[in-house]
Amino acid sequence: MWDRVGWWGREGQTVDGLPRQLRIFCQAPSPEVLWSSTRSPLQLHKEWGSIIALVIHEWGVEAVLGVSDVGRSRALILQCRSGSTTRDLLVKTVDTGITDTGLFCEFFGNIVAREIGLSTPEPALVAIDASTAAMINAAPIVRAKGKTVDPGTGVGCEYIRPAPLPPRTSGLSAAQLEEAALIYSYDLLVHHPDRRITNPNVFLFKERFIAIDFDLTFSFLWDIFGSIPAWEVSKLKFVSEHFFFKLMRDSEIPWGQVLPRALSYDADKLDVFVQKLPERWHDHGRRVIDHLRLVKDHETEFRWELLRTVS
Amino acid sequence: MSRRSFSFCVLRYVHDPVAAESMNVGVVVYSAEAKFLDTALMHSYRRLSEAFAGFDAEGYRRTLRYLEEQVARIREEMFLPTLSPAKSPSDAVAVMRSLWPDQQLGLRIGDASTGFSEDLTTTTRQLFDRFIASQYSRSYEERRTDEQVWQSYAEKLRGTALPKVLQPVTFSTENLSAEFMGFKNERWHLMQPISLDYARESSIARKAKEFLGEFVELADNEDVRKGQLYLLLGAPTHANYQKAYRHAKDMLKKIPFDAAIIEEDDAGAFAVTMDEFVRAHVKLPDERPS
Repeated sequence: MWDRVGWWGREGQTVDGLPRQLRIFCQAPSPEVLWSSTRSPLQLHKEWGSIIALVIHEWGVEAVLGVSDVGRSRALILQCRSGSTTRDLLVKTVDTGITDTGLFCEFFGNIVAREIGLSTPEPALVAIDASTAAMINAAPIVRAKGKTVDPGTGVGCEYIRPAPLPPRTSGLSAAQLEEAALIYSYDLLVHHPDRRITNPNVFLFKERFIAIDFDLTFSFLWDIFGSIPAWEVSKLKFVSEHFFFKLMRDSEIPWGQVLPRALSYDADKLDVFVQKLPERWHDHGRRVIDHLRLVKDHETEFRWELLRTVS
Repeated sequence: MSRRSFSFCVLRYVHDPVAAESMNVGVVVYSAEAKFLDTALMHSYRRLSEAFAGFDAEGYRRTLRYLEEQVARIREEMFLPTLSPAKSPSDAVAVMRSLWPDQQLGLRIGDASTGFSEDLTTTTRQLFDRFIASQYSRSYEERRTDEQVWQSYAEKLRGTALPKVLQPVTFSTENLSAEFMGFKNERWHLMQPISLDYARESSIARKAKEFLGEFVELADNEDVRKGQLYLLLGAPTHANYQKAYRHAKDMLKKIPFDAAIIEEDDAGAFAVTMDEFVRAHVKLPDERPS
């Protein structure tokens, strides 16, 4: 199901004369395969481990399909192409509601989410040169929204069709409860304040919870909440407003399964991934990797802190 | 009876926002002065599944059920005597936005409109007819939905012990997942309302076949196979379809595990039987240790 596109590892030998471990990374399954699978990304993650690819495709824009009415960022719905693949993408660009740091978070937050097995729309980087920007800005539907796009890099994600349904917090299966708990854990891990009752940023697609909108992940990049140690998540002020907070507090959650999954990211691999991103994002990437490593170093405290938020 | 002002909005299913095709699926009617909040929803999804490729029927069905639960909760909370007028939502759209803040998904809220009414229950039904039912040919349509059949049984069950112990429960096999209202003592007892009230005989047979097929598959689930199913039937209102109804019941009798067929005329007796059974065999919520 997954095409092997390359390998990553360390050459040479350990001090004991043994070859260093090589790892083979595979291209993640395409969205068409993933959504049609009877197993969710979380289930696949349990079997295969990380499903993120180290290959980043850059997409070019072919047509403007629409502009989203929702959210600060006024994302564009664009028909895009990469090689022989055409896909509809929901693309954010620097705007009044989103900065370049926000674009980094939108992309890398999605990557980290997928690294631990969450279902998300596949992220993409979209190349917008001068002529593409002019074409987008000339579209009446874009002008009607008062939006303008500058040349640069847009951050997109797969535009899911058919349109997903609103999320629920009752009548959930055990698998859905586990997905919700993993989303909750992820949001605390990356200090993400923007998944609230008034703005869920999660929906249901084929009865799976899909997390979206990552531009406010890694809120420590903005020091919104002051300096809180990475693992002391019970001190995060947004916890009680989280969309799944009540569900976590009032349900029997298999935390013994969820928490190891939330901490299953490979910081070294994510570090390699950051190097493939635009250079202006490398600093942000390093801060995020340091944050994730700190949590891993204080794994026991993180687990205790998270459980404390729902006790 | 005096006229009361109300607001309402239409709920739409939007399959692909880019293509911008949509279908009306319900209305919400709200009146703060009359302390009224209700919905009328199109539970039957045949029109939607025939119109839109890849339509998620199960997700749609569960979302509507969840919506009705949440509206019932809001109704209880909203009309508490202690609630100050300032806290009441301004209109039907405000009520819905508290439940569905994201307006880029497959179910969306239309603009609010207003009116006067002396009978808001009838008004709700009329608005549903105007915006939803009148928009399609009813040649194959249900006269009553499964939900409406359930409501007729629920009326008889009111005041009994059964509603206190019923909970939504989902059972799955490799190929299928289905949700019921049920309760458990030593085994699961599952309620399945089935409307066989159609405008065409062939639709009655088709419905019975679909349910038979679903339950044959669900027999792979041990909890379902060892459980007790109650098929709460809604008979055709058209006298000429009684033969088709009998054939449908004969098909349903072939479900390969314990399945009791309950006729709507016997709903009262069923309510008494279930009340006695639940009181004898199930710990009621107010008896459970806190």
